[in-house]
Amino acid sequence: MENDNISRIQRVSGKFRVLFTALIFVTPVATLMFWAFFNALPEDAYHSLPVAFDQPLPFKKLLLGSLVSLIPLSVALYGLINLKALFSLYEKAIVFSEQNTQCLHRLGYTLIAWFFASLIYTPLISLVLTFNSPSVQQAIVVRIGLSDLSLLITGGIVLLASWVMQEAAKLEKEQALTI
Amino acid sequence: MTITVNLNVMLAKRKMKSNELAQRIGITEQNVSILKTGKAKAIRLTTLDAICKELNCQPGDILEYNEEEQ
Repeated sequence: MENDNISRIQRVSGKFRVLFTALIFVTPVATLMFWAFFNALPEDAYHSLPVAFDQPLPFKKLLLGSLVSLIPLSVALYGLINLKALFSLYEKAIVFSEQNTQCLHRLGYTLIAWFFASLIYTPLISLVLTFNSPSVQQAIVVRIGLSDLSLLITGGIVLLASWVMQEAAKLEKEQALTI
Repeated sequence: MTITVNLNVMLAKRKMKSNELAQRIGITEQNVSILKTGKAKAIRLTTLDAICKELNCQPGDILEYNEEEQ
């Protein structure tokens, strides 16, 4: 029964590893494509942006927008790399090691960093989109929603889980040296 | 660790190899090596029981306490 559970962990973790590996490549490509084809996108694609803006956007604004997008993108990529690493460990049936603890630790801080990245991204992107616009008023939007606070709380919970995992890693080490 | 497991002496006396002992008591050769090199943090009574049975000895024959120098 114990082996069944480990096999299940390995099997499911393998699938997640593949998913996050794919996302590591897809996410930056999607971001690049978003800004490259910004002016050709349907209206629905702009829902994630915090302000109304003049269309089409000039090249300079598209470039600035893509640079500002690097802030949340880099945090997202760091999170995805750590998720891939964590599930790679689970796939190898390494469940309670120091490496697992470090991955969870980094994931906790990534979620917290995501909150602050959003806090910086939203005003910057609103400024980029509305700066020097002929018909739209220049605006700097600062937004903190329930989803942002949830990220902060979840990050805290994951950090706590990493500390618990640290204790589990100590027990595992003790167990490995008990003959 | 002040308690050491002196398997080598008893293995030599009984003319038994580590891998043979490992097989007989149902643990891995790596675990026997951990015992021999003093890296073990604990030994189960069931393991100690099996070792004494196979080597025909007392726990005191293989366990040694050395007071650490201050």
